[in-house]
Formats: sequence, structure tokens, C-alpha cells
Amino acid sequence: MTLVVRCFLLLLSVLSCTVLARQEFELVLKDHLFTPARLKVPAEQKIKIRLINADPTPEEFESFALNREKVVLGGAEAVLYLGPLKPGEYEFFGDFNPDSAKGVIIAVPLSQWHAEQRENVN
Amino acid sequence: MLINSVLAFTRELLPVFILIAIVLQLPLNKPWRLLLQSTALGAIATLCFTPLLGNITQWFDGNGLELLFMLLQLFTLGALVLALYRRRLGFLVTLAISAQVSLAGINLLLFVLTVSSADQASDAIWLGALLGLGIGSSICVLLYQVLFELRRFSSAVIVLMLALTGARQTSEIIALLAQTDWLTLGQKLWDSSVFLHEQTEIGVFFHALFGYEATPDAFQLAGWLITLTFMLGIGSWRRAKQ
Repeated sequence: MTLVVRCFLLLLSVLSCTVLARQEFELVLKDHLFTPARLKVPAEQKIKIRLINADPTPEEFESFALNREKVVLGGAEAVLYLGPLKPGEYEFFGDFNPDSAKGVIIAVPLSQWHAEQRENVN
Repeated sequence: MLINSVLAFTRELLPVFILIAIVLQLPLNKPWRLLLQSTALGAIATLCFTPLLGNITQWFDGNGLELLFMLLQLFTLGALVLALYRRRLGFLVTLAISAQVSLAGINLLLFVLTVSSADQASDAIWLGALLGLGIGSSICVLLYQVLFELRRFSSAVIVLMLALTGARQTSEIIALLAQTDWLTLGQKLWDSSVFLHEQTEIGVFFHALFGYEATPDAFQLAGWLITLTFMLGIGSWRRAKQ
């Protein structure tokens, strides 16, 4: 096998590992309300949030703290890639219904995150 | 509802109006006709995209809309950089304005689709659109006049404004690249939202004017600075040559 092919395979495996390593979370929008309104995620890690818009109308996920602006059409899904985030709270809202569609992403320190996960399992 | 409509229309239309106020300072042939043509072209492009939006959003693992926005921002950036050479200005200005009108049009279309289902929404949407247009056009006229006066002292002001608008496009493109996961951004360099939040009136204006970010990333800042320096360099070189 040539060196180029080996390098390509190595790069491919590193890339796929990076993508696969992302923990996935779900954020559902229904009746212009986000569920969960407070979403806990691990800090210092890349994460993936699946935005599910259960409303028939489009919505724009917007967060100034996260520098994200993502349109999700009615009855559709979208993926939001985030992180690694510093521990803290990051507010977000639905740009088309800012009065009702509001929430917070809480980036929990990794040690605390693992402890909470262990507690949940037990 | 009305306040949300005003905010949505103002925020989406402001970058278009600011761009118009800046490009109208350039030596254009029949500028008002050009303005009407490019606005109409942008509106037609928006209408062409409308039936395809559902499919576009699903392209590239749900990142189709981001890619479309990136393309429109790239068109604007390219047109502004080339406009510094003062050749084919009519075409470049048309391209930049059409791209920005399409961008605002798509976002506003989605907003209208969302809120139109609510009771008494159509009145609020129309009034919001009217007020948003009023606020945007007022800022456009004011900015145009200020730049017109400043231009008498030095034409470098126009180069600076074009460079700032270009830098804003780069910052937006980098943010979109991060959103599609094609670029990993690091930690935020600072958080100036305590002094000036992007959601405030001035924050929205500064964001539209030069891409103000309260929590910028190193990539975003570097991209912004490189574009600004590059465009200022071309502008200076061009002015020296003249």
C-alpha cells in the first residue's frame, strides 16, 4: 500500500473518530417552547445537538453567547455542532418567537458531568 | 408580535441599507437605476429559492441553508474586494446588493411563514415591515449623507467602509463554517456583552456596520483583521496609483 493511501486512511479514521466521538443531545421545539429549557452538556468537549422542530412553522435557533443562528423548518430536524465549551451557561432563543422560545445550555465541568452520569446510572 | 416584526425586519434589512449607503458613494453610472435593478434581482432570486428551501435545508446533512448563505456572503465579499479596483463597478455593485437582498429576503420569508399563522399577524407583519423599512431607510439616508460629507475630506473613508463591510462578510462566513462543523472554533477571546450586547439597538447597528461580535473567536477576529488589512491595502495601492 502506498504511503498516500495509508495517510488517507489514517486521516479518514481520525475524522470519523472525531465525528463519532461527539455526544448527541436533543432539543425539541413544540408550541414555541424548547424542551428541555435547561440542557446540560459536558464542557470541554465537542457535542452535537439535534434540533427537532415539532411545530408546523419554521424557527431560528439563535444564541449570541454561542455565536449560532440555525433555521429549522416546520416539522423538520437540524443538527447543531458545538464546543468545546467553557463551563458556564449559554442562553438561546427562537428568533421568530423570542418571548416564548427560550432556554439555556449549561456546560458542566467534565468531572462533575461524569459524576452526574454515574449517579444517573446508579 | 409587532415589536418582534419590527426587530426582525430592521435586523435583516439593516445590512442591505448600510451596503447601499456605502456603494452609492462609488462613481456609478445611473446609480438609482442600478439600485432598483439589483433589488429586483435579489427579490426574484429570493422568490426562486422559496419553493426549494425545504430541500436546500436538508442538503449536506442539514447544512444546506448555511452553505447557501455562505455563498451569498462570498459573492458580496468578492464583489466588494473587486470594487476597490474600480472596474465593472455596475456589475459588482449589482452582485453585492442582490446577494444581500436575497440573504435578507430568505430570512424574512421564513419569519413571515412562521408568524403568519398567529391571530392578527398580517397587520403586525405589514406594520413591522413598514417600520423596519422606515428605520433602515432613515439610517441609510443618514449614513449616506455622513459619508458624502466625509468623502469631501478624503476618499479613504469609502475604502475604509468597504473594507469594514468586507471584514463583516468574512466574520459571518467563519461563523457559518463553524456552524457546519467544517471549522472548529476555539474559546471566545473576550465577552464585551456587558458593555454592548449584540441584541441592543447599537449592537445590532454595529453588527450590521462592521460585524461586531460581543464574544469573538480567534479565527473570526483573525479573518476579520486579515480582510480589513487586505482590502485597505488594495484601496491604498489603488489610490496611490491614481
